[in-house]
Amino acid sequence: MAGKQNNFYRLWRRADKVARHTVRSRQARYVAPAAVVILGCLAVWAGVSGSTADMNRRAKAATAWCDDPAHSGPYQQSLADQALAQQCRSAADLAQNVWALLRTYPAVTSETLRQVEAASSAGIRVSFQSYDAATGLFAFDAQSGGVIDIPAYIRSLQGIGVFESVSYAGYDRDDSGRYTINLSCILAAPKEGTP
Amino acid sequence: MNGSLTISARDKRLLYWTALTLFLGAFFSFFLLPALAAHREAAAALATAEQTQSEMEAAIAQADAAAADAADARTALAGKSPLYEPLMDSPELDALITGLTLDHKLSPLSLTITGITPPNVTGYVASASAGQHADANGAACSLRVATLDCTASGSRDAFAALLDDLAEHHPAIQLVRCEVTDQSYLTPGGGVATEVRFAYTLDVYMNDEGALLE
Repeated sequence: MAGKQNNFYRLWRRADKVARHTVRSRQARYVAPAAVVILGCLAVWAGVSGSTADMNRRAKAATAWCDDPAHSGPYQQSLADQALAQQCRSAADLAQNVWALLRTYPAVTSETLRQVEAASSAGIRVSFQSYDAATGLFAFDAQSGGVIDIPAYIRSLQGIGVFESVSYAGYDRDDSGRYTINLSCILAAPKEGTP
Repeated sequence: MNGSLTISARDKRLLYWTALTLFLGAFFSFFLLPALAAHREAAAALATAEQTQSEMEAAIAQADAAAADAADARTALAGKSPLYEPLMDSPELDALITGLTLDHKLSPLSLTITGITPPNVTGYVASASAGQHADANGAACSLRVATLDCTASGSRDAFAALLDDLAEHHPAIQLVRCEVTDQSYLTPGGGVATEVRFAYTLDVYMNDEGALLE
């Protein structure tokens, strides 16, 4: 009769293996999530810090490039040239605008006086008195020997093109018998194309 | 009384997850958030530095064009200079105006030079430009205006010749106002002499392009 052989050592080994595996499994259930979380956190932190360091390095390199005299010199010169060009262009525009406005003012010359005198008939004496560019008022004394000549003279003044407006306010006779004409004339602006 | 403390498996799990949550909170508060703030600052600094660098690169690339543009603009400004009188100080203005007065056989009586200032010009009252305005307020300006109040005596023809000379050869000298008065006085011989006096104000427009280059 074959006797049953019990290998207690083998049984013990098997039981011990199962027990160890059970303990390891139980430990792994605790350690693994913690390890994953910690490693994940470390990975995120390392990624952020690494990216920050990289950006700091690139910013430092860009700043160094900007501070390099080989680059800052031409840059400053270019800016100065641009500013100068802008200033000169602005000043030239202003000079042109001022000149254009100055050209709108009539030139009071001997020709102006001659035209005023030429408008009068032989009986009317004209003498220039004043001019104000701000108002355009051109004042002169006109004295007529005959009262009948005055209306024709006024019409003639209005037609010579020297004045924008001729305001006639009447006349006075002085002790010498001559008539002083009360006139208020505004010089006309030069016509387009007049030098 | 038994002083030993028995922790059940459930308590262990609770303690474990609490510790893990605390760890995560501490990590976010003391590590991740400062790191993210530093990351944002670094990103802003990088963006600023790269923006500055790209602007500098663009400006450097345009350097030759900018130099040529500046030269063109200076030429354009210089082209306006012949329209105006050159910049003069008071003695030079005196020499110019008094010289013109004497050249036309007028006797200078007085001269007052006031402020050499930037221009402030309005279109002539009877022109289409009436009310239009050009002044140097805030703009780069190379123009200066000197106002001269003058009186002189002489003949009306001489004064008319002076006005002709100003209009023809000195268009940047503008007659602002003038007044002619006839003054009669007794001569030592008992006769009556008449003198014509001219009081006139001139604006001298000057261009000082060099002021922009300083």
